Amino acid sequence: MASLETEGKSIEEAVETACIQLNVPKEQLEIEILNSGSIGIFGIMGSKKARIRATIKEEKLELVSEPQPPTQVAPVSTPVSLPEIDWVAEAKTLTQDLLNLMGLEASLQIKKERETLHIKIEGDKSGLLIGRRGQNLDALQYLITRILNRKGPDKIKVVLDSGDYRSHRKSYLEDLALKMAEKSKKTGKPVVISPLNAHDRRIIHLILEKDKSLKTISRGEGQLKKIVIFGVKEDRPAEAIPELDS
Amino acid sequence: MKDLVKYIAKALVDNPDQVEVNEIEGEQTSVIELKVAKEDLGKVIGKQGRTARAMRTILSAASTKIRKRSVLEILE
Repeated sequence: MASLETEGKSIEEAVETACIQLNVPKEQLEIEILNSGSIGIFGIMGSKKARIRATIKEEKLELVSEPQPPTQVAPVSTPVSLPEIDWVAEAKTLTQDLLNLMGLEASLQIKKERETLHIKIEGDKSGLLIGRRGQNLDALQYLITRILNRKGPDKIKVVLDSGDYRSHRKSYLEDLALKMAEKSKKTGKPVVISPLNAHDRRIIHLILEKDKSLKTISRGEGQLKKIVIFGVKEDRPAEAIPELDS
Repeated sequence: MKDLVKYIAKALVDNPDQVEVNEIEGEQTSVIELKVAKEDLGKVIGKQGRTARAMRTILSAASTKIRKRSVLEILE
């Protein structure tokens, strides 16, 4: 353990000298005052030098990383109550503007249920708003969600519907799921449903969840994944995911 | 079509005044170039390009209506 005795006009000065000679910061030294020194009369006569013994602390690494006492925790800013955002009005303007720019004439109905905005568009007869497998509707819904959530810190969910598309789609998917489940049971082989987006997959997973003799998994990567439905034997845990040729 | 892209982009970004949209019209296809502030690039592209994809989907839907094709290009 390195130790050193130094002198100086004051204790501070002696410590400083020790630091320089040992090449360590002051915090890592153990200081023992041998003589605190005295200034003497008028700082001239009888002044004694301060004398210290400096020892490098052993556990210096620990000490370096010693957590600083929490330097005054920033006062928890009381959440400034933001003016309540009128989501319905915001969404209405936004959706109406977008539809106009897309050259669609339709009327809107907006309801807010807790953190979800239900926007229902009526009057699009061309099906353009829905698109293939609802892709246009989903894209618009996504953009509206993005734009609305950019303005406020609150998270708001948006469900966009045109006519009764969403509920029709849901019952179609449920029918499909049950039909495919039946097929899987009959043949004893796994059945694959064509690639679907997350929302559509959820509908299928949920309806088949009740059936304990079946298991459903999503397979693939990206936005669209296939669903595989396969049977499981009651006495055997569903450990094996069947290998597929496709 | 240009206005549609401009409207969406301005609503998405933090610096709407820096949104620039150019339309290069062709016979059948028109190219729409979108330029935003550097720090807003991520906002118009989105996670895994999801926002950009949504904009393209909407754009092509709107173009179908006027029997045209539109391509969205996001410029860096």
